[in-house]
Amino acid sequence: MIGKLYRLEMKETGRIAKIVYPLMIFITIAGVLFSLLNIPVLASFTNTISTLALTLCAFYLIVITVRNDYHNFQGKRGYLFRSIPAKSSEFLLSRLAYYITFLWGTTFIYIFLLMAQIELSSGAPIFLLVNVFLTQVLFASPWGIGLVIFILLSGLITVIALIFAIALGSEARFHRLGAGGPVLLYIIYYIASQLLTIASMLLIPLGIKMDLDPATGSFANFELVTEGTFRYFLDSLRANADPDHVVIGIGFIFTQILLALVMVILTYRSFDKKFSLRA
Amino acid sequence: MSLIEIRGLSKNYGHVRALDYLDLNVDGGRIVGLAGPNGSGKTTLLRILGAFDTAYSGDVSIDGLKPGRETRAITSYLPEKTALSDWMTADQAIAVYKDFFADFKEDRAREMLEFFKLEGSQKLRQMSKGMQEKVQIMLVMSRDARIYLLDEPISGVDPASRKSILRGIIGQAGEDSLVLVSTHLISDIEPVLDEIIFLDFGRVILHEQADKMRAERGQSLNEAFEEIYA
Repeated sequence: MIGKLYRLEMKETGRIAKIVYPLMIFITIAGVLFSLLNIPVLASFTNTISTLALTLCAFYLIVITVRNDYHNFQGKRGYLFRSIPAKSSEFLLSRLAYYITFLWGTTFIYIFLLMAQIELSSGAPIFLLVNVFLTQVLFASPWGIGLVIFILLSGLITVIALIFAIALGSEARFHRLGAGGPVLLYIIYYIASQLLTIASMLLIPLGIKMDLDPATGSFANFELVTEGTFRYFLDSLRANADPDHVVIGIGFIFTQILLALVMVILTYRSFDKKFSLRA
Repeated sequence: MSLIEIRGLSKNYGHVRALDYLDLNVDGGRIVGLAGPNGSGKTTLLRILGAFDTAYSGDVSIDGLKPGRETRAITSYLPEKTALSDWMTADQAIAVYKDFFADFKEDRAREMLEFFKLEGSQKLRQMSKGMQEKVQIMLVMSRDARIYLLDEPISGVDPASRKSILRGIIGQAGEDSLVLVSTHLISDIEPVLDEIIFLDFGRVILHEQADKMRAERGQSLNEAFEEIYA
């Protein structure tokens, strides 16, 4: 059932993606071709325009992804989707898969095309640099792998927050706000999430201590410590913090996961119990 | 126990009361008209029965179950507006329904498509409003459901199409099934109704067997409707 729901939800946005993705490739190629003409003013102008157009295309598809999901479950298409005798969990998982496909997919394609455009038009070895960074820095240490996992987790939490905002923001109590309900919920989530992150970094006694390497001027010797950023923060306020030894609290990882779990539970409960189709 | 049992059902939209302590029992095996002026609560009642609105107070039971996932499997709902995307063809819509509803009968859908003289390969956006309505009816009535909830199935279509749509509805509903049709076009639907429910200000003001009502009042349902809501 999850696969069927996923395919059904993919159809609507997929039709637009079939146009937007090739358009993004066309924009990149056109931008590169113009810059290869080596006409100084025109080259920089077309570079700017194609980067802007590429960004607009990616942004448009991301907006369409969210809008279509909203229409599938709150708009007139809700009469089809909501009549399907699937479990709430099946709906949620298929929506997660749908968002991951388009939000992550669009982001990946956008970054890839942007890198290609820079490399082909300027000759800068962007792909080589990224490859070196990925293989020799990011995936070369457990800290780097941890960072990658955290980025993926953040992407997943963003998707959960979107579904949460659409589900709870569309409850009967927010009907008078129209589509503003989900927007309001997302803003509330965002502010709450930021405050929670700051509080967790400061107060939860778990952090990474980083020592400044005077020779290179960059941080080295990462060490896990049972300390948050609070003491370092206070020292900074008193202007006696040691700039060579910084502690970054990572307790926010746990509170963000907890927040995501709470959003999943609330969305699950809202899906069937407090629901009122708007169309 | 009736197929649909409702006790003290209330629903507000902000300060507007759409349903007001509504009580109702409806049994299966009949075609029931749900009539009333605009804003009387017809669509709201059908949406609650179809599990498209769970934010209400009171008790609603469909075959002993609260409207939700289980009742969706036995309820086929026709919304007032088409729920399908306009780029879809009738064939694609049939494929979607076949995929999701275990009780969907493709043979029946094909028969109805032929009966309505529709092309399976034609996109909805290329169809007239009446044709789109027929596609929706074809999909909804091709399910072997216990309950069919039809919200204004003949409004906005020409009189010839109305008759064809009604024939499509009557021809497909099973003997034990309940067809609950909301309308304000009583005269068109009157010949097929077994029962009539009149709603006003979110309450049932009359619920009667169609034949009994005609005999007792000496007037058609349409005349009664016009008299009651005058």
